[in-house]
Amino acid sequence: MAFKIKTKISTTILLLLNALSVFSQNNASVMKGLVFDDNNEPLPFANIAIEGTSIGTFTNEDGTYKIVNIKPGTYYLTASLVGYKTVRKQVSVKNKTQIIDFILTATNYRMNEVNVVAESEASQIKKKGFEMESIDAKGLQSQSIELNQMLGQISGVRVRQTGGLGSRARYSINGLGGKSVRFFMDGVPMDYFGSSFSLATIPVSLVQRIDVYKGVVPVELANDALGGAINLVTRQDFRNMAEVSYSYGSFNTHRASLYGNWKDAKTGLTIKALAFYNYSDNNYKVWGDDIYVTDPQTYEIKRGITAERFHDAFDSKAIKTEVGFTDKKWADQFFVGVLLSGMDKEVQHGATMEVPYGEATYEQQVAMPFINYQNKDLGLKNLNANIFAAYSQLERSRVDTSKNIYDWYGHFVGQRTIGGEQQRTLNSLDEGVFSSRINLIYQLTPRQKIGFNHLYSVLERKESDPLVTQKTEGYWAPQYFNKSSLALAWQSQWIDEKLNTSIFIKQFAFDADIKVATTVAGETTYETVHTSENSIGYGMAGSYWIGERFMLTASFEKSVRLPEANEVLGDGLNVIPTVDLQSENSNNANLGFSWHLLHKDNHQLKWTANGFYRYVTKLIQQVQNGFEGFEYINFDEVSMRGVDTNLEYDFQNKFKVNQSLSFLEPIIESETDELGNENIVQGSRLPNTPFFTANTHARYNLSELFNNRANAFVYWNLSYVAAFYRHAEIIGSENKDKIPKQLVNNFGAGYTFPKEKLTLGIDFNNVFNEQVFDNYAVQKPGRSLFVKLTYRIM
Amino acid sequence: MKKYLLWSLNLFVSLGFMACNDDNDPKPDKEPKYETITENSYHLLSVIDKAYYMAETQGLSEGNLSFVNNGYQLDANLAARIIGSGEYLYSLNYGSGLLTQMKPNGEDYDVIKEINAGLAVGTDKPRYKLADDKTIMVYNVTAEPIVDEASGNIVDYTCTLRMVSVEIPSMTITNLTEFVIPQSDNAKLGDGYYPTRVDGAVISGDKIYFGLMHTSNLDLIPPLRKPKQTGLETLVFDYPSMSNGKIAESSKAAGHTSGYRAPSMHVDEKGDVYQVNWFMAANSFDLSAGDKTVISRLKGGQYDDSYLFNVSEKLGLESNIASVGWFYVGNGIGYMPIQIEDEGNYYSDNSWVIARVDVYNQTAVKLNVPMSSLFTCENGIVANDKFHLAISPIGGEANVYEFDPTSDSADGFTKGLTLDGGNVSVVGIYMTQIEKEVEVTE
Repeated sequence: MAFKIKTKISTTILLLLNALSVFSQNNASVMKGLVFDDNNEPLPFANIAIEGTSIGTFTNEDGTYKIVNIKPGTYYLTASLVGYKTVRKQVSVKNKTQIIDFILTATNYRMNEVNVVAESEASQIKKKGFEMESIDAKGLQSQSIELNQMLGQISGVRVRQTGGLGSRARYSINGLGGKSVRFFMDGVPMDYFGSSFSLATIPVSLVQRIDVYKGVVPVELANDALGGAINLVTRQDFRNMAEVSYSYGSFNTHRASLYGNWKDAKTGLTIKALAFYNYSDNNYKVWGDDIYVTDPQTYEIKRGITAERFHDAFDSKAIKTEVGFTDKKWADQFFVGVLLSGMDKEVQHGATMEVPYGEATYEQQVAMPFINYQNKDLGLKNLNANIFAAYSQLERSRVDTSKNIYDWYGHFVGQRTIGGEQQRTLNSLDEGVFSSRINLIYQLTPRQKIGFNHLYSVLERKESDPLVTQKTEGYWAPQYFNKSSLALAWQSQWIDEKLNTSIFIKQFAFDADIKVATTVAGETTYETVHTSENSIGYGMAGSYWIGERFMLTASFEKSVRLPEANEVLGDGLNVIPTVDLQSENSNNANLGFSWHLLHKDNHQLKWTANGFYRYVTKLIQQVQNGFEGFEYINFDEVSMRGVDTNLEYDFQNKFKVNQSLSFLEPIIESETDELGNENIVQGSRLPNTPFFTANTHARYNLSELFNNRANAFVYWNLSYVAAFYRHAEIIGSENKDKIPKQLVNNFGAGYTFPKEKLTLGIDFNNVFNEQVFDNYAVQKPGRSLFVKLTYRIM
Repeated sequence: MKKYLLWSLNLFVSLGFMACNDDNDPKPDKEPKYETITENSYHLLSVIDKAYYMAETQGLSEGNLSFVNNGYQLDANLAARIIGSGEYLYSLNYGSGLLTQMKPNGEDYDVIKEINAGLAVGTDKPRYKLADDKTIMVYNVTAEPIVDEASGNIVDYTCTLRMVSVEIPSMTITNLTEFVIPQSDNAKLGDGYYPTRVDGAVISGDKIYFGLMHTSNLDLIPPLRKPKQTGLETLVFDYPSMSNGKIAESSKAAGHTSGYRAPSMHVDEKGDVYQVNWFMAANSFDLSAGDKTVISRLKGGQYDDSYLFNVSEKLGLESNIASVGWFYVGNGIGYMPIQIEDEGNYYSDNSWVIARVDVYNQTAVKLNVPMSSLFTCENGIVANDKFHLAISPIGGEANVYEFDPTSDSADGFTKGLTLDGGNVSVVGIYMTQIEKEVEVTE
């Protein structure tokens, strides 16, 4: 079905362009509006046509359309889209702008129709040649699922969490992880949104879909992403609506969210708001060899006990409000908003579970005012501008001063001679960041587009810790770090739109003021050193249709990952500043296809596969620098090659099963270590990296079983990760740290009541109570149950 | 010193055992006779990418030992520190504070007993040392600032040592002691210096000695920590009562006396304690102030003012040298990894070499072994009358070297067991001994 849409779109584009060229000389009126489904979601790529003429257009990604220069008169305007009933409206056109909105009703099963739409958007991006996978949140919004769980279903994406709700997560795409994966929300980098407003906390109810770009990243997201990019696309409703949801479940977990939209049709005044609150005790049970208690008399230890986590509570909350105008001549969208968020986290343990903590905490607050401006015709016709600017004020503090020692039963068993469970600190960090994104796209000709993107940030950081006694000049060093990414792209279509290409060039730069301490003959002197770097990245992406069902995609990028502020400036405590740090570089290549194997009315079978190769040089690594200090240096080289594949079967939009597999061969390529020693592990697999993962997702819509307009579904998700070693694969033979294989079953069901106002979802995770680890010896939650209610107020 | 005598004895017994094995002609009609012999086995500790592995070898003189697909990974949150004594190896997990007693079984290691030694001294990062052949000392020092309420400035520190004795092989914890380390006038001469670490504990007679490390509160941002530049100090207690704690002082040289991973202090056959100083960190030499690498002697809980072995001077090198610890063989002979300032920095260059020192005759010879990086060198052992230490030059071939204590030649060593080299860094060699009953044939 998605495929049909594509061909339709192609013809529509042609029609539209012809129409525009014919009518562009006339000075007449404008018709514009929005097309929604009956769930208030905007419908992109819907065909808008004026009956009896060749005039027509299609809706944009946000469901908007615009037809200009129509001669006055009475017309019939139709809106149509595959899978929806066509709507016809009579319109009297006068010499002014008229707003005509459409609501399209799905022809059969709504829940999956939306999937089709999302897929079509994803396909659009894929068509440009980028290796991208998209996961639609629409059908999942009634579930108590976390965004991190959703991401984990995508082949080649690994999310490794260090515990329950709110725990830190590490992301990797095709084996490249850490800071080489960048996050965006509607195209805006999330770097300075704070961890209280991140994938770990944002409820699924607020998200429309998640796009994952593997390796090669398009210009719209022109950040310094080596491994790939993850773009959260939030809900874009432009009609008045409000929705609340509340989920409760195991480990005293509460998740509430509120989402609302209000628009005054006359003035275009629009208010958008979202808010959420998450809380969990995270008091799930952990067991095994790493969980032990000490006999207070003999100090002998007893391993293998089962204990409940007792100091792992987490809460996070956020409010994001935007006030502005939509559909004005001077702006399609203009919003001024503010994001306020915060989180509190208890810290249960360090890198492994061996030593439990009972008092250490962490908290963070972010206040971020921002503006967002979008205009499809900025001055010049066909110049689409999208501008975002924000100032983020982040405060983070850690409290770790307790002398009390706890065991895994939560009992107080002794006293430390010095305070601090993990590291004695009252560290607080105050970070102010101005960041901006300017995105301009100019349609040169019907088949040629030029895009420009600029990301810029200026960071100023202050740290303080009343426990740090050496308040020297070095400690208070001014810390500035500026970063900029510029990108330029040329997108075009060739050979009857069978071939789509995108060529791009990106420029990355950073500069920093670093205060460097030098000690000679016992005397320490400080000087401020300015350091900067400029790097160029470039690449291309393309897709080619062979026949009507087979699309080939290929992309290549030479990409750059700039160092982070912490890596250059140090942390004022254990990590020393460095003036020599450079960007990481990588060459990324993808070759894949998308093949509709079966395309009959009742059966759809689609197979996508992608092979990739990445070669990373100058990897930024933390190393020991002398006596108990650390610094970041560039030294390692790794290569990653592998295959992601996905098979998707759909029967009548009722039953859907998806199977993804991901193989990765991450190889250490460095000939020497950072000191110049021969690298014994060269050619072996990179440690602590999962190399085989699989995910099966099956979903069945039961709507027919119920009376009118009620909806129901059940799903089952099975995920598998093969065992891997924590350290060098080829070193040692006994007692090696190993992350065991994981096999996790999740079940769930949802029911939307006949009036569609209320939806009930039930999620049953880790049904067989498997001992699950993403990281070495850090256990994740076992069996758990969540119930979620979603209510649409209007 | 008993240890070394025991080793020498073992050698003879081992040789005897080998001789017995050579004789394959038992006489069945005689009543069998048995005797107890001691078999040595050797264990090498390697570290690669922050993971620690232990592998056993029967000999150190020839052949090779690789950690590729071989070796037992040790629990090491931050690092693993090893002691070999009797039948057992003891592994301290620096980061969890667990002390694990392990017994080699020929293929890998059986865990015999685990105790939470760190908890006993209130930290998961304790330091420890085999103080004599039946005692492991585990300890931890904390420094609490004393703030002048009027100004808010830190005027001093209260430095508390907390320690326990772990009896081996029973692994029982006794003698929990807390002691506020007195700060001598000497210690206060530097700018904001106070004791931050003790290490290198040795027991001699009725005294136990701890080396001290001083750092400055003005200089805590790594790696700028620099040693106190004035005087030597050693903390001495009556043993086993752990009472009467005092600071022994000397103004003949300066620096830390704690050692780093290599031990700073040894007890000779006469019960005297010989100690090397450490005045180097972060390329922060201040030899113009008269700093030098010396071996001092302590007797009866005091520095012996009649003795000072100026290793820097006796080596007669053009460059300054530094040391963080040394190894004693017997009869006054020891081996000391020394860093040669002109050859590069102390932590990532091939700037270290081995010197043979004779503490009785006060002579020192720089040996012609390859330059390497030995800052983190943990242990070498005496076996078969030779001293064994692993040397892994950066970018070069790694071997166990066998040093002949009877030779005062710069070439008084041979190359032994070949190691992986490269980034598999062998930082310590340990020995276990099993007593066996064997049939004696005549």
